[in-house]
Amino acid sequence: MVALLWAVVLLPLAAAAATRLAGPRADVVALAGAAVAAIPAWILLVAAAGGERATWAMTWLPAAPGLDVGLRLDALSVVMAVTVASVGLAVVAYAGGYFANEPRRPAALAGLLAFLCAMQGLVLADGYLTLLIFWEIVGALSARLIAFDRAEPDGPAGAVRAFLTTRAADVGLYVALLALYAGAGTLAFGSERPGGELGALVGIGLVLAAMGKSAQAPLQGWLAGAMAGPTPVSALLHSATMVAAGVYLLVRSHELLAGWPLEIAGWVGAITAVAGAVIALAQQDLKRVLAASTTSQLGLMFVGAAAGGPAVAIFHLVAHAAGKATLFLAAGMFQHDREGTALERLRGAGRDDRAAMAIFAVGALSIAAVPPFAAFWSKDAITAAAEGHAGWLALVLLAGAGGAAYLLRVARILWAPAPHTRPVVAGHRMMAGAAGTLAAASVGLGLAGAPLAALLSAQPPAITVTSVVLSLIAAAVGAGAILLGWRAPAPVAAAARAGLYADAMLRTVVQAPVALGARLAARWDDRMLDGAIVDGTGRVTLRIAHAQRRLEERRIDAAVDELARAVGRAGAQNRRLQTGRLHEYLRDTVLGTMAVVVLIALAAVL
Amino acid sequence: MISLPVVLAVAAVMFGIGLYGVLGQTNTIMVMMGVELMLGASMLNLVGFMRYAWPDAASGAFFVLIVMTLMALEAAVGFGLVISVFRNRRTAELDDLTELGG
Repeated sequence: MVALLWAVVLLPLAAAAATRLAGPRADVVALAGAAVAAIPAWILLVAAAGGERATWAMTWLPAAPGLDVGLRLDALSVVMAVTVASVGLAVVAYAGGYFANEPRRPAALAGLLAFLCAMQGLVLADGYLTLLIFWEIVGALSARLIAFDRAEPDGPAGAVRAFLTTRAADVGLYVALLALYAGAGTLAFGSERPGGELGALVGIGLVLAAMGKSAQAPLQGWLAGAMAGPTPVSALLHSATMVAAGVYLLVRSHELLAGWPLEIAGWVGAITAVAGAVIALAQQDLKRVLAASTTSQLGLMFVGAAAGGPAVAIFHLVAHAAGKATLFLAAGMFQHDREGTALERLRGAGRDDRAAMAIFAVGALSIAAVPPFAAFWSKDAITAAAEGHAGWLALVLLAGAGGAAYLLRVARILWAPAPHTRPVVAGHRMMAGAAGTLAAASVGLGLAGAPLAALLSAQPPAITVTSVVLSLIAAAVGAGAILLGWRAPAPVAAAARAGLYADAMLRTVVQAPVALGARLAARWDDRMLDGAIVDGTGRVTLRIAHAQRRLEERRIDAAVDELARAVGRAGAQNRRLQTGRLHEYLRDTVLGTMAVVVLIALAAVL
Repeated sequence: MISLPVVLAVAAVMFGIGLYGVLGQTNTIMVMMGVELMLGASMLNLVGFMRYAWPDAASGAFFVLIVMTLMALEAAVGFGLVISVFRNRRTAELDDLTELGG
């Protein structure tokens, strides 16, 4: 089992390497790699359904117990792994066609496969330390993939924004894990939340990290910016898997967050669900509508996790992953047909590309919670779970009405009568095949609720008559509002187009104080640290050095001068010998010779 | 045959006269003549000892020949210098030539 766990994580990476080197046949290699990589995940699902559980752990720091890294096979991780692998397979197959005319296709496909590796590591991680490692890798790869298209002007900005926003929220994860380790002495899953301030830090930090990764209000802005990335990236990362990591974190930490942290998460989710739906209604770009819709649906999952527990949230996560990826893949097909995703440009695109329209319709019906499509059952489970909580229930129903409304609005634009403009698009058949498979999945997944709950050993999602009726009424109200041409008051519409001013608010509340603090710190650094301490130290040191040098010079110079004077004196003495008078030289020669002779004679005698 | 002491005595006298010439004369020519006398005395010694101690060996005679050659060279260089100095200075007195004094 452990070998299969490793295979789930590492096979995508090997496939990425092979794809990167495959050249023109990268699509085939990537598809084969993704398919092979999905096999162990499915085997693990079957094994887990049969009660199999496994963990692999390695001591990371012997000196610090409780900091093991490892992989685990349990019901939750295997469901996530299968979701990731299956959506990943469909998206990689689709991307082979989507990038048909892209010179850097091997790099794009390899990037998707490498992301699959990181995501599998995240969901299969055993313990928060391993989860944190893959959590960061996922964030970094996401930024890289958003900025893949170098011709796209918004790509780098969107990537930086996505990275910075999620990173800022990830600080919560770090704080939570530090507090957890300080309080509980371990980072293993399923430990008790420590009491007091540490417990508060754990709760707030984990919820904040989940909010950032899952683009919950008010941090949802980065997801719209991330739409600058290629559409397969949006489908895989920003609808089905990566943004779901926040929900996964909530579900995985369910015991740890019991009580008020889940209550906060539920409120955040409920508010986000409505805010996302409102924003989606006002967007002028198909992918941005879908991004806002993702935000809204992830908010519903937060409510599900808070009100109904793991099974409810994960059921909606899986159903939404299939449905939203389907929508994105259809959007990518329209994008190729019309070379853009602005709704105005896509007017009537559905009539030209019926296959894409059919796929889009299936995804939209599912996400809009129309029976019998998958997300109807999962969203209804959330509605039923929220029944005991009047505030959440109202917001969930409102979000449901919004969901029906924005999807119907987009579908009407796509189906509007328009002049026929349909270029031949390379890779279209591949894209349609992959998207169609996902669409089929988003139909069939409605049946997965009860088995999923059994696997997660939770209560099967209860669907009450009340919830069904309320949901259907809400959806009908939303759809009816669109059909009757209801328009929101101008200020509301403007606010929705501007993302409900969340960005402006974040700029005021977060960015401005941080920038001010940075400026003050910079001034403090320049004036005090740099000016007074560093430069002052330098100046004093220089002065000391100069004094030292003068002292040394005086001493050494004195010695050198003294030597020169001594040599001079000796020279003056010797000069006197050299008179220039030859007679004296001759006399000295004679006397010297005589002295030598006398010495020799003495030596001989003695 | 002249006995060795006679030869040595003559040589000693010659050396003494030469030494006096070198140390006592002020004219450069005279000093050089003193040097010649001293060299002559030492040659006389060489020849005398050769004849007395190793009558069959020729090395003493060769030494004398070498010294003679040196004397000729020395005289030629010395007289050349003296003539050159005299042309410039109109003097050959040794004690007037003290430019090399330190």
